Amino acid sequence: MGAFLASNFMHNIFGGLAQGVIYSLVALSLVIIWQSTHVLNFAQGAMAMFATYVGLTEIGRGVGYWWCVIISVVVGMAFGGITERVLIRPLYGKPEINPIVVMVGFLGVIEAVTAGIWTSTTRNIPAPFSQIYYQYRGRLILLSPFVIFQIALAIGIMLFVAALFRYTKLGLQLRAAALAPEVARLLGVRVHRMLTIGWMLSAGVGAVAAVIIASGNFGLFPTDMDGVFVAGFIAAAVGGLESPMGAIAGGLLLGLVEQFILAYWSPSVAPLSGVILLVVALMVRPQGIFTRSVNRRV
Amino acid sequence: MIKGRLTRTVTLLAASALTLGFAATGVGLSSAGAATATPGVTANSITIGATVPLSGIAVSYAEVSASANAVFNYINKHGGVNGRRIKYIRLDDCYNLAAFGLGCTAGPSTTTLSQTQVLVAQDHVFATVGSLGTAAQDSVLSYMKTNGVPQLFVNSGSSDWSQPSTYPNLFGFQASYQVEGKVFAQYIKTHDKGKSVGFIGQNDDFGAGGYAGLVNGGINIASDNHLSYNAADAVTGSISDIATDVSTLQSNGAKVVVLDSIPAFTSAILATAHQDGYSPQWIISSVGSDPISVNSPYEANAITFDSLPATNDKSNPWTPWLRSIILADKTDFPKFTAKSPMDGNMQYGAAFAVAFAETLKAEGKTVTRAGFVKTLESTKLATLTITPLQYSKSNHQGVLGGVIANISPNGSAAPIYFNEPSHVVYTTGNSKNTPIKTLPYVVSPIPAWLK
Repeated sequence: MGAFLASNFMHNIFGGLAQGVIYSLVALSLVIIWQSTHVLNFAQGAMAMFATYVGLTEIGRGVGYWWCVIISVVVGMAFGGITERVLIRPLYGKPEINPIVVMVGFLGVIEAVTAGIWTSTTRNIPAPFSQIYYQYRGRLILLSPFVIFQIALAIGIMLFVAALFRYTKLGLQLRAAALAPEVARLLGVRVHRMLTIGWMLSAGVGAVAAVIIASGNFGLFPTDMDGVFVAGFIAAAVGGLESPMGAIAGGLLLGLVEQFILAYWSPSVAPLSGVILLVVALMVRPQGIFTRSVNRRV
Repeated sequence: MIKGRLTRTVTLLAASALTLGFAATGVGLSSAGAATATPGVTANSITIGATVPLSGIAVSYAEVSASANAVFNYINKHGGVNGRRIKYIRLDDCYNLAAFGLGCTAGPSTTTLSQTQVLVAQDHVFATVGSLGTAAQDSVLSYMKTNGVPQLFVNSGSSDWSQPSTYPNLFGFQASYQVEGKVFAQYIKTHDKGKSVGFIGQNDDFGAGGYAGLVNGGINIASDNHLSYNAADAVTGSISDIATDVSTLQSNGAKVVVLDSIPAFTSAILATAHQDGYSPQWIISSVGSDPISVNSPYEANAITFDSLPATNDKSNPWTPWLRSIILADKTDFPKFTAKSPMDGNMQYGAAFAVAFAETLKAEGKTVTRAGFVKTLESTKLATLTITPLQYSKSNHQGVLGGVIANISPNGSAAPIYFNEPSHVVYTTGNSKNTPIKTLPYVVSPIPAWLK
């Protein structure tokens, strides 16, 4: 078992999964917003990054790591709610391009403000768990306590979101508000409030992804979510913007495809793997791999 | 619906399998180097390693370790050191930015830490020698310390490498960025008095150290002239932020611009400024000024700091020595010809390779990690540097000074090169209060056993 875990094949599996769960989280957060408000939130990564700054820089003031994570998520949720209320709500019913333009602009504003407040110097955030890989008889297994934490946390968040949507009254109201706002309103669901909550939920999930990124090797800086956002976007498009499970699967698939193309095909092709995957997915199933119905708008 | 359920089940199963797999196999953290003998050392060989950028945004530095490897191979061909051949394993860590792509071929999950673990746990290296990058090497400090592996001649000018009481096995090589910044400050105060100064630095300890040196040296930089870039922001083919930084300095009227940037960014900054018709006096950190790596005609007449001989200094015996080594065995530099210019990266790699070999020679037949460190702290090393290389119990930084050099104009035939108009070597400490002093310019003779 140990030798198997230390094999090259499993190296790629673990490497792909570790990367993939982050893409999945970002994709999931995009899909939650898309489902509830049909807005593609281009500032999703930047909003999460901002929340991470607010929380994780508290570490410098002696606040414990986990408290900082909680602060980040709470700030992220508040930020998401306020954004929906202030920037997005006036745009409901307007052309679909409007919120896209607003959020692209917002992305630039958030990154500039963040650099203004905290400078763009990379901040090193201590990882909550060791990043030293496990070994089997001197051979590395590409899993460290931190990677396991990363994967476990991501799965935990996904299960939490799934359970919330499926088994709670709030989840039912959220789904109703997204799927049939008029009917839901007639049945007493406060649709606008649900949309705000959808944004809060999405921003909270995004903040978790941003916390993982910043706590990894690469530290926290104003543009640290840009590349991840693009990958998350591809993952959501591949999986289907209508499907949370599709987003998660799309993220994992993208992580693994990147890793395997790199290992078995060509390193120079690997950076393009996201685009390749997107093109193939759009050709084969333009509605997304896991989207069940294309007739919703009718 | 069925599909959705299936996905959920698969996800759950995967998660459980992962967790259970670990519990069942009992795979735990095993500490490396349990063997009784010194790791990496046998009767006729010594294995050392380094994590260096061999691809990605900082790939121009690949020459440094290639040059060191060429020197080690030369030594091996002549019988090795005390009968031991030096095996130098270089692993690509992409400047610890692999996750961002940037042309990196080592895989997105590759980090400096993971590659260092391979060197220590799988390859059982005696030490790492010449591993590169401030942030990259900072990320493995505690791992190296825990495993008792010497981290020698870190290729970075951070002052982090000289903390003998905390990290007794950690050694830097070049002068600190603070020292460099202070020497630049003195140059600006003498030659560009009263001119507005701008600064673009890498947004980590590299940029921060250089900036601190300038400020400690008495240069005032207005906050809107203090700019930075993020190496992770570079996207193949276009480097963001740089254009904004350059035009900001231009519109703020900065007449002198200090760069603490790696060569790819130096090059981008110079090209952007040229496009904008902006030509301040450039002052570039030694780390990002090597003319061959920067490969920009707009670098001509820029000022830099250099602790190695001028690249075209034919009177320096090390220059022809290194040339002949590289030409004799072109494994590491297949494209290098008798007409090719020598560059600062080649000199740098050769300088620490010679320093390592010399210490190993002085250490004698019995080699231990503790013994090597002790020898290094007490041996005066004859290598390419133009200041004496003398570590001690309190100095693990390495070279303590350098000359002000300029980049010669790009002639029609000759490429631009480092020029050292005066052989005045400046030295100082990191703090504000240590004055700048001068040192003699040293040309160490090549030890007989290396000839």
